[in-house]
Amino acid sequence: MSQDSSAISFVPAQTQARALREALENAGVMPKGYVEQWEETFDHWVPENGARIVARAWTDSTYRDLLLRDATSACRELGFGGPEGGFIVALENTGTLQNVIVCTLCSCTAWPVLGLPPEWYKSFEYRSRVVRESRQVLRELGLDLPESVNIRVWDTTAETRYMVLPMRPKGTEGWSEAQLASIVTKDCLIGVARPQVTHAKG
Amino acid sequence: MDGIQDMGGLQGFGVIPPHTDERPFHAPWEPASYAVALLAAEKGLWTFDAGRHAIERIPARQYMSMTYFERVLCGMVTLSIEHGLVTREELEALAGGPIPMALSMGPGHAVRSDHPGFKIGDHVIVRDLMPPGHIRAPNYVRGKKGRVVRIAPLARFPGEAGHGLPAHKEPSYHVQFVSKDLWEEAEDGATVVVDIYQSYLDKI
Repeated sequence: MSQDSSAISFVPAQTQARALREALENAGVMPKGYVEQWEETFDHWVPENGARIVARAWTDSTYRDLLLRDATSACRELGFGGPEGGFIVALENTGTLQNVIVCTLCSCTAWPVLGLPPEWYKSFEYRSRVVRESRQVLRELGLDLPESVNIRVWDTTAETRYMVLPMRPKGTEGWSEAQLASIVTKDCLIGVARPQVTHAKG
Repeated sequence: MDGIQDMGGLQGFGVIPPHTDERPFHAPWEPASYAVALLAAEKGLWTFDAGRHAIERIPARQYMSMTYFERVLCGMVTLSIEHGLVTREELEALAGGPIPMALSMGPGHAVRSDHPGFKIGDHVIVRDLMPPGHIRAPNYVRGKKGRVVRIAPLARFPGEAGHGLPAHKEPSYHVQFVSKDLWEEAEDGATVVVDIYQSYLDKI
């Protein structure tokens, strides 16, 4: 018999997942409706949360100071916390520094403020390459930074969860917090994009 | 363990896949895999560390060919069986066929309880460890020197928590490395900051 277990044809993942749920429910470990309850929470973990935090920091210097000193409290102040958000650190971009987040070992992310991570963030390509050749990876993701900007990559290898605080773009003077938040995407919060004035809503 | 999950700096991967879509889930079954991890944490059955280690224990060929949520699901199936909540036979009967499982777990790795700790600005070296079990100091920084830029709060030591052992808590440190010290061809000015548990670090 072959030792290569990749040759076994397993049942489809959706069948595996259904079997696990049924078995855990039958064993009395998982209450009925448990998954649906979490799905509702996942729906509230969206990058719009992080965007609100950034917009507040752009318009309120006291809040900005708090965010950079103690992001966990700053996030909580706007109602964002929970699993994978127990210790949050905000990384400030400047004219000469771009911060970028990755988890090379799995795909840890600050769920409550960035939302659950997107596919590309979990890809083997991003996980392997961004620490080693950050500028090229950012270019492939559509962010071509001037040579004068240094790149700092933050690998999420313990319990700290990060969010990037992008620079407020020129041309947004006098905007409301809601308008400002509308240009801060999940990519901006991960550090692979910069807010674009032309993307504003509201 | 020196497994395929430790991919920081590995070469031979292609371009980053297109990112037209930010949705975390793409099939209705996927959220259940996370829900089992959250249930286990809530009930004190196993930690996220143990979940991560179970995923690392998936045979490398399968790890590479599974999607992200297939790996999470496989980790949760494995832990549910290892913790005696379900049997493999029961699951496969319910599924009507074979279900993939991770490989069995090796020994854990104990915290260093006599560690003096560090302060911000200290120069440190990552111990060149190769434990058979769960380790969160990625390969690309082991044996490398960096500088402590922040101290993170106490957290369970992964070498213990990842193995279901009673876990000591210790701080982790944000250690900044000059990329050129990690990879000769890296560009000037590039840096990498890794969040590293105290037990993995020594003072220079």
